[in-house]
This record gives sequence, structure tokens and C-alpha cells, in this order.
Amino acid sequence: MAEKKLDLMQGTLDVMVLQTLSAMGSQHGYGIARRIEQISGNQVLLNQGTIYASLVRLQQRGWIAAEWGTSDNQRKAKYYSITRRGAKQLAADVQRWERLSDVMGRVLGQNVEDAG
Amino acid sequence: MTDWIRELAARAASFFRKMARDEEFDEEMAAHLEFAVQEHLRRGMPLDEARRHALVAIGGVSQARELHRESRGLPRLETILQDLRYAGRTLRRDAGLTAFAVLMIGLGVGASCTVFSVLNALLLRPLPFTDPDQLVWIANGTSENLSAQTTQVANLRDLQAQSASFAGIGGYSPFYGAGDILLSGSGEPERLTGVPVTESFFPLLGLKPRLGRFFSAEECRWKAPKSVVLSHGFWQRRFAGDPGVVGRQLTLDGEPASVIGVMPAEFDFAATFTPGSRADLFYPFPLTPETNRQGNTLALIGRLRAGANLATAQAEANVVGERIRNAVDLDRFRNGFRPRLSPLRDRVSGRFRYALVVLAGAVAFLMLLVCANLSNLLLARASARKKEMAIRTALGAGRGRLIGQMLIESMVLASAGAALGLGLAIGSTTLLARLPAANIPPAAIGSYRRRSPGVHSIDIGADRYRVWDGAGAAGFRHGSYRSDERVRAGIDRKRTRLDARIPGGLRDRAGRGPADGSGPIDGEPDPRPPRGSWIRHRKPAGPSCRPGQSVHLAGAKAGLFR
Repeated sequence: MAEKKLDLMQGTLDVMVLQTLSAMGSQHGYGIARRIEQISGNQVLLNQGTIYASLVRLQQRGWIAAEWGTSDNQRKAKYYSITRRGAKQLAADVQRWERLSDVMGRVLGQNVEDAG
Repeated sequence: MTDWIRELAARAASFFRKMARDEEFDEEMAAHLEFAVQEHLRRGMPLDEARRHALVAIGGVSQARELHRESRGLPRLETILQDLRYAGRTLRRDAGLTAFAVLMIGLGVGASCTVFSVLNALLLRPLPFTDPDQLVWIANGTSENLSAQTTQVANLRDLQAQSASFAGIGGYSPFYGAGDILLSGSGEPERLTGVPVTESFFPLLGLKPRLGRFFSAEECRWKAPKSVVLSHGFWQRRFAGDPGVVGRQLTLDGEPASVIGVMPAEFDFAATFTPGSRADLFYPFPLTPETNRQGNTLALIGRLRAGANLATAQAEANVVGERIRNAVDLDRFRNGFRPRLSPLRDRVSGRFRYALVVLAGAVAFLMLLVCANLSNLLLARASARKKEMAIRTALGAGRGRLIGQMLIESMVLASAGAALGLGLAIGSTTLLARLPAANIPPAAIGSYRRRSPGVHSIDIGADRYRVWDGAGAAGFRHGSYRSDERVRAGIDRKRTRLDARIPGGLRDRAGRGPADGSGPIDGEPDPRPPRGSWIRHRKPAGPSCRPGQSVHLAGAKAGLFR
């Protein structure tokens, strides 16, 4: 059953990118995009071009660092890696998300029980 | 918080490295596409399909680039810069209209600026006296009618004696006739305006004579031999600045008068006290019982003692006024005294307030006209640009973007016009300050000049009138002297209608009152007839005047009068 893919909000994509980089280490833009798609089980509607805007934002805030390198098949590409500040930011964001989903789950779950 | 600053700094840095960043992005895009194609190829897709899939997955390279750019630099600033460049191109294309609009704005702004700067200078000009803030104007009563504002000699003496706040009080008599004194003898006969002043008037103001000295006590006695102090302007005009003029005898009204001094250049009596007239010379007004009998004759100015303030001076003066009231009951010839003190500066600049309001209104109206014209112009052009707007909308420009661009265009026009206006204003104020007849500070602002026979140019504060008179236009010298009077009469009439307050009307010199020369009538404060009957010539009319000769007023222009 092909459900409509979820649209991503701007802030959430940033968190995803950070998490991916934290888990994968250094990676280029394409790699990050594919990874997010795979992990999310292709549930996320990701316009791959938006990754680059997100990467610029993260870079400007100092949460990731970038440098040019070569890939396995000798292609020059820009590799990104998470910084210390980025890791701190990620931890804070993860905490916030967990709290949010917890609260939302409880509130929404309560409604279902009432209805049932 | 620091993230935000860091981001701003990074954005600013990217703003200046656009080219490099674009190249980097293109590289990244290319790499991304390659990786995608490789992956699809590994799965066994043919090459062109692989490429297609890759492009679709990216979601459009140009969109990606746009997003990238937006995140990267300072998008708003970049938009503005782009709009500026575009506005420049558009305006250049429509050079005629641009030039016209800029010129219009420039002239409007320039004119307004000039007018207001000049007025500002006039209003804020410090009085040319020592310690002008210590000078107060002592009016008698609150009426605007000058006859009611003046004070009797005895009241002046009392105030001087009984009040401790004043270091000195002096005054002048505003009831002099313009052109009442005939200078004859050597050289051309000329009609002069003389202002009677008390002995202490000039020392009170802190003035020092340019040549010679001021009046001594001897000369300020009743029926003393005539002595005069010349005004600077008159000295230059008539005697060409001759330093030997002190001690000369002039024949005034058939009697000899000795010149004892010359006023300094900075002092222009008319500009400060009686705008719209001129003062050629000054002679003593004696403070004696004879002048006392003439009633209210003096406009008083006092200098506050160091440490005294206006409020205490007013209180003391009120007390003096009360005491005088008792004296009035006893003495038939004594007038009441209700002193109203105000700083001299307020008195002097307050008289321009009306002119300023009128001028401000005129200038505001001018600017309104400019704006209306400009809107018409731009509206006409806007309707011709509908196609351009349509194309831009079709290409994806949002409404905000188009509006922003129009705004920037208007701002470019306005700035150019304002710059031109500023330049014009600077130029014309400099020019005005230099024109000898304009007499903008530090010299006079009110002066009378006869520019050529028949054409009289008169600056009255900020109003300027050019007047022709019938006889003068024929170049008839003698006649034009008579016409001077009538011209001034005509002007005075006009000024009356404008509710101006000119003290130097056509009256007789102090010393010659109504028919028998006696004092006031039955407690009436003023023996002089009120303003309505100003037009009265005591001298027999010359051969070329006819009563009722018309005076043509060329119209009041608020701008340059040449």
C-alpha cells in the first residue's frame, strides 16, 4: 500500500542530517540523502536538493564542518562531518523530540482510549 | 544566540564570495548526479534512464540552486541590489522622463530648503547686542497697537528709580515719520528717516560707535543744538564711508545739525525693531517735562541686572505700575502704566512668525504640486509597463518582489532629485547671502533700496515687494521723492491689511503733536490718531504729485526679488 510520503519540515531535516552524520561519520551530500531515505524506509518525501540548503544552514551555524575529498571511485566531492557543537545540539534536539513524541503519544493515545 | 550571530557572519561572508560559492555548488551538484547515476547503473538501468531518475530524485537542479543560494547569502540584500541595478537600467532607458522628474523634485526641494534655511537663519540669528538674553522689551499693556504699547517719560523715570532688577532702561520713540527729515545743503537733497532715541539706548544695548561717540547729557536736553548719529548704511551711501564725517554739519530741515558719530555695521535698527522701514540717523529724545507732556511716546528696552530674572522684574514693574496708578488719579497729564515684560528676542523674532507661517504654507503647497505632478508622470509610465510586469509575473516573480522593485525605482528617483535639490539649496543660500540687496545675516534683513528711478525694491522681513510708481518711472527725480512717500504709504496700507505691525508710519516727529502741541486729552493714553489716518502729508505737495496717484504693486513674491 503506497501511502503518501510525509512532508518534512525544515527543522526536522536538519536534525535528521545531524543524526545521520553522527552515526555515519564523514559523508557527502548524496550519501546523506540516500541514507535518510533508506533508514526511514522510503517513508520520507525527500527532495534531495533540499539537503544542500540544509547542509549550508548547518555549516553556517557551526554544527557541521565541510572539506573537499575524493570518493571511492575517484570523484571529487564535498564531505561533511559533525562538530562538537553539532553533537551537543543533536543531543539537545533528540531530547526535545523524544519529549515531544512522548507527550503527543500520550495525548493522542488518550483520545483513542476515550473513543474506544 | 551565538549561533545566530555566527550564521549572520557566515552569510555576510558568503555574500562577498558569490562566485566561488556558486562554483562549489555546481561541483557538488555534479558529484551528486554522478553518484546517483552510478547507483542506478549498478542496478542495471540503462544510462539515459539512470540520468533521468537521478535528476528527478534531486527535484530540479535550478530549484536546488535557488534553495542553496537562499540559505547561503543575504537574500534580501541581494534582491535590493538587483532591483537597484534594474532600476538604473530602466531609468536610463527613459532618460527624458527621468531627467524631468529629477529636475522637478530638485527644484521643489531646493526652493523649499532655501526658503526655510534663510528663514531659519533670520529667526535664529542672535541679536547684535551684548548679552542679548538680558534685554527685555517693556511694553505698556497688552494691546498690539503700538500707540498703546509705549510709555510716558515720567513712567520711565519712575520705573528706573523704583525697580532694582534693571541695570538700565532706554528706549526709542516709534512715532517718527519715514522720510520726514529733509537733508539739504551741499549735494543732492534727500529725505531721511530719523529715529529719536534716549541717551542710554545705545550704551544699554552694548553698542560701540564705529566713529565718534554717542549722545552726551548736554545734547539730550530740550531744545539743545541738534546732533545726530548716522547709521552705517546711510554713512556708506551718502558719504561713501568718509571717516571725516564726524564733526560735519548737516542741514536737516533747514537747521544745522552736527554729526557726532556713526553706528557700527552690525547694528541695523530697522531690521531688529522696525522691519520694513529704514533708519538713516538717530537723534536724542530728551527725557524732560516737555516730552513728558506728549504722553506715551517711548518704546522701552531694559537690561536686567546680573542675577535678576524676568519674573522678579515683572513683579517689581507691576508694583511700580500700581504706585503710578495713584499718581494718575492726581495728575491729569499722567498716563497709566501696566508693564508687560518679555525677552527682546521673542519680540523681535515673534514678528516673523506670521510671515513664516505664510511662507511655510506657500512652500508646502509648492511641494504638494511637485508631488502631484510626479505622481501623474509615474502613473503614465506605469501603465506603459504593464507588459513588463506581466512577463515578470509569468516568470515567477511574486507580488512582493514587483512592489519592492517599483519602490526602489521611486527611491532612486527621489534620491537623485533630493541630491539635486540639496545642491541647488546650497548654491542659492550662498548666493543670497552674498547679494548686497538681499542683506541676509549678519547684516540687515529689512531694508529699502531704490534700485533705479521708479523701481523700488523693498524687503520687508521675508516678504518682498517690487513697486513701481507712476512719476518715478519717468525718471523724474524730484517727483520720485514725493512718490517715495506715497509708495511707502501704499506699502504701509498693504501691510496694514496683512496685519503687520510697523511702528514707523507716516507720523510727525516727536515734538510736534496735534494742533496746539499740548499733551494728551483727558486721560486718553495716546494723543496720536490711530492707524486709519496714516496717509497724511504735513508738507506741501510738490508739483509732480497728485493725490490719488495710483501705486501699482507688482505682487508679493516669496522668492528672489530681482
